[in-house]
Amino acid sequence: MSHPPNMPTDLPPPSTALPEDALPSPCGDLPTETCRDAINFLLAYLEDDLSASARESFEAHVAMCPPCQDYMDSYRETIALSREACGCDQADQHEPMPPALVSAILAACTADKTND
Amino acid sequence: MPSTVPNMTARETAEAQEASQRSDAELVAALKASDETAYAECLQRFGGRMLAVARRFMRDEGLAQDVVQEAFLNAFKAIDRFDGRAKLSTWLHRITVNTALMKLRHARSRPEASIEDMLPTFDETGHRVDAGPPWSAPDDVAARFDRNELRKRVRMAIDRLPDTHRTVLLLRDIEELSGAETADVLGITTNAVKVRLHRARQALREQLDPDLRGPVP
Repeated sequence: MSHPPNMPTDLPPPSTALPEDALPSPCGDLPTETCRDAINFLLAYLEDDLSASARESFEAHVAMCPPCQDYMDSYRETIALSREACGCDQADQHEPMPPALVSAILAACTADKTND
Repeated sequence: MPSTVPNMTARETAEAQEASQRSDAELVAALKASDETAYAECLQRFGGRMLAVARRFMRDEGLAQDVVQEAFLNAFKAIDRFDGRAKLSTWLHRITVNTALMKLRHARSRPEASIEDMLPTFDETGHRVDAGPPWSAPDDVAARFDRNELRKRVRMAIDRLPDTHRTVLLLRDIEELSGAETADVLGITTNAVKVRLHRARQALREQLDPDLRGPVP
């Protein structure tokens, strides 16, 4: 397999713990008692990261709670919209590179070769 | 001969130009042979696409152009390591993303806005305070916004997310890296990726809500 150069994985990880590490994992086996719980567990539910009992509890809450159903639908729609907005088939992906940038890169190529 | 045909879209023009050019294998062979016309052709064929990718990550035109310049120069230097198993465009795309991430990591010393203010809020009983009507059906949204306008609004909303969360959203939802790959590339835990991704999606949803919510029943 060909590896792209300058993979950032060769950099050391951040030396201090990130705030997110101190937060509870969004997956788990806690029951869904409130809308706050349902929204907190939504990612885990969609990624199938909940235990069977937590999943059952989540689904029972959402089935009885139209605002949480709406939230889950709009959360899914948000993902779809962001994929569509930034996807590879969008018009701005087919605009040519600015000529000045092309010239700068070609000049840098030539300079690199001369230095080699 | 004119380089473009009147009334062709940028995409159609790009596809027509690509069809009349060398195959990937021929282009790679020419790049490996340091053929200067191949460098120009590579920039013409893939430069716009890579610049669009860099813009998503950098949010700044100058920085995005720096990323693309560095990415292509690195790619040209490393072209002997390209073995053709992936498409050339895929390989260039990965290099561009990696270069953008490197630049973002170096730039991350500056403080960024908190995402907390962009998240949904709850009352003491755990009910959402700002729960509004459900989002409109796609046909109703289409009647309200031209599709390009909607895409533009979504991109602008993504751009407003704090860098640490926006980057995770781009890697997971747009670049389609796994949680483990994203954690590896960013040097964070998979739990941190999950937390950031969920918060980024929630914040993005909150920003799109005013445009997409339906009428109050």
